Amino acid sequence: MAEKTAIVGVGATPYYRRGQSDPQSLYELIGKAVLSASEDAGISVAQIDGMAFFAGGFEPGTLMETLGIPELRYSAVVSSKGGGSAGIIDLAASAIESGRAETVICIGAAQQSALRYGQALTSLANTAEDGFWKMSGMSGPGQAFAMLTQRHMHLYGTRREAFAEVAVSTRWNAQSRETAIMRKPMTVDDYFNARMIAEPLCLFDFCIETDGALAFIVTSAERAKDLRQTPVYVAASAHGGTADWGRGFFWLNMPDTMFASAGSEPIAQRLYADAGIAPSDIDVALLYDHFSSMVVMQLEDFGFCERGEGGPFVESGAIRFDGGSIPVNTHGGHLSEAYVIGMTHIREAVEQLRGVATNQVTNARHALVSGGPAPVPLSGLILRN
Amino acid sequence: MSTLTRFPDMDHFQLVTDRFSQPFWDAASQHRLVAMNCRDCDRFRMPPSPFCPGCRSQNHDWVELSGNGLIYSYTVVHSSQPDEVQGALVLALIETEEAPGVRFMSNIVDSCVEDIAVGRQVRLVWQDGPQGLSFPRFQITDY
Repeated sequence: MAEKTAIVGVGATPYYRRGQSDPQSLYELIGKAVLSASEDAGISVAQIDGMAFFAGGFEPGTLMETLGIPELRYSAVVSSKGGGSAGIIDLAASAIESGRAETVICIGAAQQSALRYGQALTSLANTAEDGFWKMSGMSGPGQAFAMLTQRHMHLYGTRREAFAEVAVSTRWNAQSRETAIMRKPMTVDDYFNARMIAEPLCLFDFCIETDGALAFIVTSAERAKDLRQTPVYVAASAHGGTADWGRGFFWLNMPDTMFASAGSEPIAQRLYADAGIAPSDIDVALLYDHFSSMVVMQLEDFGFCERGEGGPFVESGAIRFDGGSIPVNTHGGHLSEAYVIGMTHIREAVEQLRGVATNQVTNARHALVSGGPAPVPLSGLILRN
Repeated sequence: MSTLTRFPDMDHFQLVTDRFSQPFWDAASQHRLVAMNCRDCDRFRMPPSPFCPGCRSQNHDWVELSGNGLIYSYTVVHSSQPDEVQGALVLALIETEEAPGVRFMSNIVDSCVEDIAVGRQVRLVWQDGPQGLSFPRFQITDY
């Protein structure tokens, strides 16, 4: 099918360990990412006429003032807490396809406050609904995902060896990646010797804590042909999800099969239908890895293996860059490179399809990007060159 | 040596209610576990909410539960304090016999952590907290 939009510019700040982006403000980090995306695309910042944000923490008006962007004709935010990350490209594509804007900057950034992610749930405003999980003393997302993981192990016999393979193979990918925060080799023994945090999840099942900002410029496929970079076309983009997933790990009342999943199967089906391709056509998968076990469940959701077979599939070496049938998180992911709420996965997809990735998949033509298994909206992308 | 599971620290819990959740907490303070059930289509829902997601009705009943149930899933939470000293904190999702289709997010208490598994039978116990609040907790019974 003929794609209508393309990613033509990518910009990023360096990735910093938690707190080390000081004394830069969040706006300074974002500004640097936007300027770098603009330089990469060969498009002046003044030509930006649309903005799409993930999660927020920053305002379009302030960014316009700061960067001297004369006029916006489109501005939208994907809500959610990790799930909508890939959805910023979907917003940009819909703005461009509808003619509302021509040059949309998509932005995601993270600058961690004093509050650690492991206690993130304690900072949420108390609501009547949340009282029903808060009464258990649950304080971090990892505890909720541990329960999804435990159920997956119970239903399907999934083993910790599968999560170890995700952590170790992702670290292997990060070793050669200059932007990666965690490059020290990790062995399976290292994994099993790590301290438990929320059983069955140990330290190396959790993503790292980092600061950074990334920005992507999306424009029409027609215009992309004349720009500086190899266009990376949006073959399919989607955000949304079903009521059976709902608030996901905040709800915890999902039907059984959905509970032991990443909630993304409906997104996957839409993406493949819209792109007119099958999972076997995907050359590299950039899966939101806030927790290693959720990579296993996303591999099932996105059809790389049958439901329940994610564990053996991963343990077979299928997701390795070096020899796997579907290389996953070739940049080192959130587990080892940096955690900037899904943005680094979009960047890696673009680098793979431009042919300039650190761990370049030979002749990569289709890349899958997923948003996090978080409350609806979930999201995903299929990009192609 | 087996490690006992402990009650969570509820000193910092701040309850916010609306008119749909308030009856649950009122009953809990009397050590009664109740679940919201749609009067029109007999569907339970958690958390309590203004509409039945099945038929959109607002008519509902509060059904009192014995609290006998099963562990649907769980996680043993580790902190800097050794579990042997303070007891292990176990978060668990409980499915009860009388309210199919919904789960309670709670804790496994006064049980041996080594005995915890998906599918184990539990019974209801109560934890009294600050401000007259009480919280449903669960204890393993199938030894």
